[in-house]
Amino acid sequence: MDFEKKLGRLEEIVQKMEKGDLALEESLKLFEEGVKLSRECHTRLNEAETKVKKLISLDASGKAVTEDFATEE
Amino acid sequence: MQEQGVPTSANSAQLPTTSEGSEAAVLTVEQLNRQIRQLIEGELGLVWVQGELSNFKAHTSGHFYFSLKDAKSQISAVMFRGHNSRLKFKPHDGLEVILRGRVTVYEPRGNYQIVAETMEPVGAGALQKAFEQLKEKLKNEGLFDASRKRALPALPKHIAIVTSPTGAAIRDMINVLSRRNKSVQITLVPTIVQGEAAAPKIVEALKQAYRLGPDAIIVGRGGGSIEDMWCFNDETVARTIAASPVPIISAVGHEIDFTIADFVADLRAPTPSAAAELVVKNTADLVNRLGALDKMLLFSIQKFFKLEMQKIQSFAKRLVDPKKRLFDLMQRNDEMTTRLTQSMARLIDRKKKEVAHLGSMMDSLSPLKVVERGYSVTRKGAEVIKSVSQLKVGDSVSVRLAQGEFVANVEKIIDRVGE
Repeated sequence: MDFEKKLGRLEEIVQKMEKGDLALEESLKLFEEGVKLSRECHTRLNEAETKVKKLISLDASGKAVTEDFATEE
Repeated sequence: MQEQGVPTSANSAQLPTTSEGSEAAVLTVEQLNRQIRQLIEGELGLVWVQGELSNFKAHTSGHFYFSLKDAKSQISAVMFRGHNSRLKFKPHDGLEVILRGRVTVYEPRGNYQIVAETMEPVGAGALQKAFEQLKEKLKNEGLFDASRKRALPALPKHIAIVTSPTGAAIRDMINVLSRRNKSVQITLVPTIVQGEAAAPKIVEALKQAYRLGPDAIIVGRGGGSIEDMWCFNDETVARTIAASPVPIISAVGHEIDFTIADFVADLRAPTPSAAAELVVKNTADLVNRLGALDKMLLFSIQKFFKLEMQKIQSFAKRLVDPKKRLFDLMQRNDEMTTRLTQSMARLIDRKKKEVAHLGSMMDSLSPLKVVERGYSVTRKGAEVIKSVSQLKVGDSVSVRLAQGEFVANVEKIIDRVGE
């Protein structure tokens, strides 16, 4: 499930829980699912650090040849 | 021309005469300059002239002072602030321009000059026309249509930037992108972005960017003049941008003017930084949304638990311990017994008192008590005598006293009490 779909499902869960007419077991199940989705979304947002590369050329097979790029200050 | 009176001077030479025999007027310098001015202004009026700018100076007053020259000749010129504020380009030495203005004489100095009302770089007209034509042509092909425009991806992983590797544009874009969305990867596809040779280089760079398969592309450059941006009005550049396989933002660093690239891209940003902001705007929105949902999720589960706890507690209150119930009953029993006993005692007491009271009443009402006080009971036979009307003289009566009894004869009736 891609990020936006996960976020959409999380929204759905929150809405259901806010309505407040759920049984205990169902509430707990939804809460668990919500927490799981939220964690996955946070992980996706905080993956890796920004990398900046400069394209040198594209080789014969179309693969990129790059080097690290740093802006001059 | 005005005729002047002849000035006299001690040193004047003989006054010149014209061939017609009349005396020529001798003017003051001021008068001469005025005549020259009127002549020139009257004769020339509005002129168009082309030349090269030199000695260009933009005065602090806002007026432009310069010379317009060609290979052989030059003329002083001025362009006042009211007119020059409308210029869309920055004039400088060496620029070939066409002016429209009036030739006038600056009398105090006896200089003539041209007062420019409009100024245009040579070839600007032609360029502008070509721009309009290309714009019209591409528009009619539908390349500017809103329906073609694609939205930026919500959480782009890889952005390709087609721009110059030097300068502020790329630096600003990297700053914005890495600050707002830590997980984005950026590939710079370097190219030159101004000058005659720029257009084909930009096309090549764009094609390379497409082969990298990014989620979105930014193509642009920093600020500059219209001439600097002109490569982004190139037809091939425009068509290449239109053919981008992914959403592409045009950021050609010119706040108000649009280039063809701007029209044909999916999005246009007025500066490179603004373009980067657009790319990560969705991410910021998503981060906020996620944060809000986290809070709401936590809040609703807490609320749920609180409600359940309340329910449980209210049940607990209603459940009574059976032992307690028994103790309660026993206590109640004791209490009732005590109260009953007390009531009974009180009742008995009361009755006793009543009986005693009655007894003493009885006692005081008893005839025996009455006779003890001295009263006697008189009887005639069995009849108790209460009134003398029951007697006549000579009757025999028995009189009972508290102690003993005697018989008496009625001798005399004295009172009829109550008659």
